[in-house]
Amino acid sequence: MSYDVVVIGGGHAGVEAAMASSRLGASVALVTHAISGIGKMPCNPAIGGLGKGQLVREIDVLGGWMGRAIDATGIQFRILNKRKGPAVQSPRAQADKDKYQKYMEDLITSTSGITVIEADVVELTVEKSQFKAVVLDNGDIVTSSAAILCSGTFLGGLMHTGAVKSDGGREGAPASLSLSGSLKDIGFELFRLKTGTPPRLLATSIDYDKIEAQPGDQPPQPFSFLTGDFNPKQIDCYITRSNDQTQEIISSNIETSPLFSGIINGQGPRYCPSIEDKVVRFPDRSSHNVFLEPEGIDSEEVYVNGLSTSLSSEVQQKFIRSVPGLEDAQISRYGYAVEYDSIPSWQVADNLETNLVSGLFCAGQILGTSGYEEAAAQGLVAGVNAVKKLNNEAPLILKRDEAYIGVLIDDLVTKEISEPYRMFTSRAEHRLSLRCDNAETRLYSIANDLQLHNSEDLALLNERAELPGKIINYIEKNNYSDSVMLKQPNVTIESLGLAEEIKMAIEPKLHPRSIIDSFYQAENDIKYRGYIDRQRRQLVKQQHLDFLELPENLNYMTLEALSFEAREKLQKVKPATLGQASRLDGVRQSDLAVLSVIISRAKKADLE
Amino acid sequence: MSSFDTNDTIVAVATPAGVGGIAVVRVSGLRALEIVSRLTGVEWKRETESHKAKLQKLYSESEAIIDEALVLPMLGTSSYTGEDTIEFFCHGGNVVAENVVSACVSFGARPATAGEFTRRAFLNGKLSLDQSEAVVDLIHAETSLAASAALGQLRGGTKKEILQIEQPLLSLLSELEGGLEFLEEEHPEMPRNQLAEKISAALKKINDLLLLAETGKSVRDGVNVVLVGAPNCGKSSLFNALLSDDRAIVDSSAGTTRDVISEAIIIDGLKFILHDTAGVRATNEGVEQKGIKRTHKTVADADIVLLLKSQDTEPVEVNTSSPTIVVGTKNDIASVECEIKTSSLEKSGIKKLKSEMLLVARRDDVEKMLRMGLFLNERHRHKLQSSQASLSDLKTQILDNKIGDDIVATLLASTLTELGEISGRVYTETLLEDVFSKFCVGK
Ligand SMILES: Cc1cc2nc3c(=O)[nH]c(=O)nc-3n(C[C@H](O)[C@H](O)[C@H](O)COP(=O)(O)OP(=O)(O)OC[C@H]3O[C@@H](n4cnc5c(N)ncnc54)[C@H](O)[C@@H]3O)c2cc1C
Ligand SMILES: Nc1nc2c(ncn2[C@@H]2O[C@H](COP(=O)(O)OP(=O)(O)O)[C@@H](O)[C@H]2O)c(=O)[nH]1
Ligand SMILES: [Mg+2]
Repeated sequence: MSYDVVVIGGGHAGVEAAMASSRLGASVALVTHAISGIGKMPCNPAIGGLGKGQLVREIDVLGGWMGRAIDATGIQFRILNKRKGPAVQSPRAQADKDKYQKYMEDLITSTSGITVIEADVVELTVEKSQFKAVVLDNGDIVTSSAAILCSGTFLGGLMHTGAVKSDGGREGAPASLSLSGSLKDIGFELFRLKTGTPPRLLATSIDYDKIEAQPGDQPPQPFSFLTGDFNPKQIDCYITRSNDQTQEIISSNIETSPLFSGIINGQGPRYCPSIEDKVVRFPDRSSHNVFLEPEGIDSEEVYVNGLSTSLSSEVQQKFIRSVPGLEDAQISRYGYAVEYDSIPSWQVADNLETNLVSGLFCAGQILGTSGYEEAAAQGLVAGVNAVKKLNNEAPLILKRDEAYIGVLIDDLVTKEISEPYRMFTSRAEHRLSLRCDNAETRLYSIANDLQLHNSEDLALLNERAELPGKIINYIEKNNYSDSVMLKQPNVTIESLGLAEEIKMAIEPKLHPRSIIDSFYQAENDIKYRGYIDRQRRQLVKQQHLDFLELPENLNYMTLEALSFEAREKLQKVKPATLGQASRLDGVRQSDLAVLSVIISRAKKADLE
Repeated sequence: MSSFDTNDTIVAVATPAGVGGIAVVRVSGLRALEIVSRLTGVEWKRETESHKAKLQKLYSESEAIIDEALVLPMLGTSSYTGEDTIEFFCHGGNVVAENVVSACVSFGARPATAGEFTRRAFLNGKLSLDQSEAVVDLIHAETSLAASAALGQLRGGTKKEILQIEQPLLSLLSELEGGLEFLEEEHPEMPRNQLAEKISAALKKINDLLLLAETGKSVRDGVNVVLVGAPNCGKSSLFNALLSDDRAIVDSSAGTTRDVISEAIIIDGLKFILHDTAGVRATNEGVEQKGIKRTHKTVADADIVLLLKSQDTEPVEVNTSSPTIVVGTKNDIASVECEIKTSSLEKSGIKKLKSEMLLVARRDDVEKMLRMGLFLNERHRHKLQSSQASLSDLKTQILDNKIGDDIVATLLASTLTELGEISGRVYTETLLEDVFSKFCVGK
């Protein structure tokens, strides 16, 4: 069996990776444990959210599938943080978890260039630092020119509920126990991370009369620019709160927690803490929000957002019932934590290829991130870059001022990540220009180069991407004073009575909702312009560093002028530019000075 | 060659040219240890030799004896530059020192450029930018006040004050940023007045510093005092009386002083630069007219204007925004209606005038400035002013409810960048070029 690209793992990263490689003409094998596990959501039945919604919008524009999938299978759509400013607003949707999974499964199995193989990859074959093949548990060997490792939480996966431990990548799925050893043999450094999930409750056992309903937005806003008429059936989520009693039950049983008894070694995400974490870290705050999220339109099960836990099943049963509305709740599945091996991400370059093995790419949770959206974004980039590498073409590298995806990957490559990495808007220094509303305009020319979308979809994308610019032009030409007015908060194109006039003049061939979206983007562009310019001017000072490329095969260990810490760090990470080097922990100003000299020398040598 | 080049080992004479019996030569960089070994003909070891001075014969490349000098190695990061540094205390002044420099160069060092030692100290994190600037100030200090002020800044006074502005803004920023990562249901926007209050607090501190920046300028550059008044009202005489030295020409025919004459005096540690000017009156004489024009220009640059009046001349008016002290002259002949009455002839009222000048120059603030270890310069003042402008603009926009926390956070971050340039927490190559170009070689 031989393919251009083999993708290991059919999670959120693997799906996008396989689709992207295949769209670019590669023959793809997707090796994963179970076809029925493709695109599965092991935790929260939701897509998007603060910082993550931006990622999904970008994935959609570039030609990925996450946005289209959630639009087709979502059961509640909301825009979060409407009051805090457009730059930090994000769409979020509850998914019908099974339908979402099925959508992705059908997508993969109906794509002719992708062959799905149900198996466990036990070994990678590498010759002279070049990737060669994967070995499956049944002994089969699949050879390929490139591989993308998207194994998620499965490598050395160990699940915990109280003192009970079992091997597994997630509930109901076996761990992958051999591959870690193979990676270590090749020379990769691995480290242990941990994540957790809350219990699921039977929907019929919840007393909804006691708690507050949280409806979706009306009208709902889809993620994808390709989605036309949008009228999903939406259902309510509910919000309740933990209390003193919850606090008391947890703190008096804290010793049954594998997290605090020292059984779990893996580092968990600080920003997504388990309830026992919250109780220990914020002893004075006895009440925490609990969101009850249905896992599907017809699902029996409800996800208890906010009460992630790995306490013993008896304790889980007890503290759940202390929460208003959950007095008689029945747990259908217990919460648990999972520990797994991941590859510290400094071991990959900014095309997501490993420094150690040519042709081996990584994406998703295996690189230390957490979240479906983060995984999907990397999957898309790795899928594209694997094929670019085979075709000897320049890789897709998004810059920090172009996309959250650029921020994500640059962070992965340059930062020492010591806990699961989640996207935040504050990670993006260009946040004001990296908004959800302008994703099309920011990325359409890159999408046109990439050609992941078919030509019909690209035409639609271009129309949508260019419309806000046309709107602004029109207003500035015909009603200049209105463009000044639009800088004021709460003044909109609609409130100035300009909408009809503009539509008549420009005649956009777009869905009415896309036109409204474009108005909104044009308004934000006008309102933010001054601030963005100001910020650009400041950032330019630092940015020139990003254009200074460091020689590729520099042996940092021999550069005695560098501090020892920097030498080690640079040798490990091999940053592509001086800007990346400047963002590494442990690299000091004086080290940058030395590096800038090296660059200028290299340039001089080039000229001579 | 980039002045960023910290790969080389640099050498220079560190003491001023042509003074004193001992000249100090300083070598800094990776090869300092190797160079001292070759220069002395004995092996110097990192483990045993640091911070112990030894008397050693120094040899040139051709093995001729240059000098017998005290050699002080400071190895590792605990030197001024933060890298291996050797200092040679040479006899016999500059010729010998220059020979030592040449020998070092022949053993692989390169002559340092101006300010390069201090620049390395900055790049190696030994000094902040404002501390590096204090080094220049210290070199150029003309009064002991200026020297103490520079020392205070070198000890980190300014850095500390800036930090006190930055710190609350930084925690405000992280609070805002944190809030942005939460749902508004759980973490609503910070109340606008609370936000504005925190910004006001920072603004107040910046204001205080800006006042002291004025004082810093007086201490560093001196206070410009301009004497104006009608011809023959006694300007030149008072100028001389203040200097207690016959400097300007005194003549009873009106219009003798045609050019501006300047002299500096030090009162209570503070430097005052007195400018004697041509009298202010209508005249046809070309030279004198030029003098009068010069007077107006000098008045425009004045920190303090002394407006002189005597009974035997017509009073004149000056158009100035600078603080003005009205001084009555020739009090021995006839008294003028004003607070300060002087007689240059009898040397009376001069002391009172001097204390008034100290008062107007805010001499009291100098103590405050010294206590705080502040010695702000034009660059600091400029950064403080633009931070002040952007913060008050931000405050207005917040109170007008014009912007969301996403923009507030961005604007706050950019102000912090600006403030960070004072201590050099944030810097660019041009900024460094600017700061270090004011240095002399050897520092
Ligand atoms: C218990 C739990 C709690 C979580 N909690 C959160 C949370 O609170 N917040 C959050 O943002 N995210 C959470 N996540 C993470 C989220 O599920 C992942 O970030 C996301 O699914 C990662 O996508 P991925 O594609 O990298 O890997 P996964 O979705 O894990 O997919 C990996 C796929 O690879 C396959 N596979 C693995 N190894 C092999 C092999 N050797 N051979 C063949 N196939 C293989 C698996 O079968 C699986 O299909 C949690 C995950 C789990 C399991
Ligand atoms: N009696 C007396 N004569 C003075 C005094 N100051 C200046 N004069 C005289 O006034 C005349 C003009 O003085 P001068 O200082 O040249 O005035 P200017 O033109 O303002 O500079 C000279 O003849 C001085 O001797 C003073 O304090 N007492
Ligand atoms: Mg005169």
